[in-house]
Amino acid sequence: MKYSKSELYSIALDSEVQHLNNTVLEELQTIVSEIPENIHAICFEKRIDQFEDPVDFLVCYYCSPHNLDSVSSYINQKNPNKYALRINDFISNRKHSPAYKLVNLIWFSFDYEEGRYSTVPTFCVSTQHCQFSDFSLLSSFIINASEILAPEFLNKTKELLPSLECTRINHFSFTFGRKEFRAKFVFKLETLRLPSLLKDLDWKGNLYLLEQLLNTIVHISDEIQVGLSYSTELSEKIEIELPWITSLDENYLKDSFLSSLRKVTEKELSTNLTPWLNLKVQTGYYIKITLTSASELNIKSYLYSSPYKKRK
Amino acid sequence: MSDNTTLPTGLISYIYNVTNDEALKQRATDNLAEVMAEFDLTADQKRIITEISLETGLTDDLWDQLSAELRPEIQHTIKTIW
Repeated sequence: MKYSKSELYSIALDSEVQHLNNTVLEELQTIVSEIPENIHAICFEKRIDQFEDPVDFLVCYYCSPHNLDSVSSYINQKNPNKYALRINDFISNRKHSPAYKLVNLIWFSFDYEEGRYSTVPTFCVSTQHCQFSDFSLLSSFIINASEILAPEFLNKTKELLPSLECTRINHFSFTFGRKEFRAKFVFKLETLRLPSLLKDLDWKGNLYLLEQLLNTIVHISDEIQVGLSYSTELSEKIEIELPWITSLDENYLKDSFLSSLRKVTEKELSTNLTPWLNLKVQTGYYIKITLTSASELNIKSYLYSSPYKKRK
Repeated sequence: MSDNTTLPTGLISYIYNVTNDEALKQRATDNLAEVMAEFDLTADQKRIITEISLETGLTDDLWDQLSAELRPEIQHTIKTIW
């Protein structure tokens, strides 16, 4: 059983976890009315310490031929800047090139920056396919796609990839919706293996603070998902995604862990996120901790919902 | 179940409801395009359902195509979307 995009959006807004001001709501409504139907999931990205702040809004499409046509047509209606053209080049390849057929999901992120949502969204490509466990296949696909999506950073992409063979790359993305254009790898690995990987990459961020954070996280999960951004150089920023919470049994955001997290991040989780699980559609969430280049730790929540009715 | 405006959209919902609701089944027989539109089926889904309706049964090729369209709805679990 599947709800339409407007129904899902309304259901998601009904959650008591949501606190969006009217300006943001109006702008999001415009985005929702314009994006193609047949969405696979949506996500609200919110800071947990400033819950009323504007949110980034993400939408996911399954790569069926019809969806690819709809998405391509939607992107064509945007300002035809070079980034929109790159997205459509990628979609064209997804439709016609066998090497691209393993991509099942694509994401758009409408990023809120400088008081408005981006026109051309940030673009994310899922590489979650069993055949991509062949790293040479995955690697050559990413390089090929990066030639289309971020040729400016191609050398860095090629330089970084070999070190990531010990990880599972689940997504790569391009911040077309941000003022600063960057590429990003999102990958899974064992929590305590991250520091040695970063040393191999000659990462210049605050390793001491990161290790403190990882030593806290390892008590709830021996695996994390990491977002590593780059342009022509590797960013000092790093993002750590904690595990999914899709039921109350999985909720690790409890006193003991939150207390340890607060000592490292100096941030307070001010909102109870568990009501997000009460919606009638499939839902889940996690938190992501970002270590910035200024050695600050910010925490965001990612509230996902899909148009499929909750299974009993 | 005559109030179709409350039915969820999508291919699974279409197949379930057209199979189990006699009134809807009759409407689909009389005006397939209208019923498929109510369930917001995609162009590919409409084409496959129309081809199936013209066959006496599901051919291997149509079964493959129908399965491919059903897969995202069936396999969907939220933890695998990101």
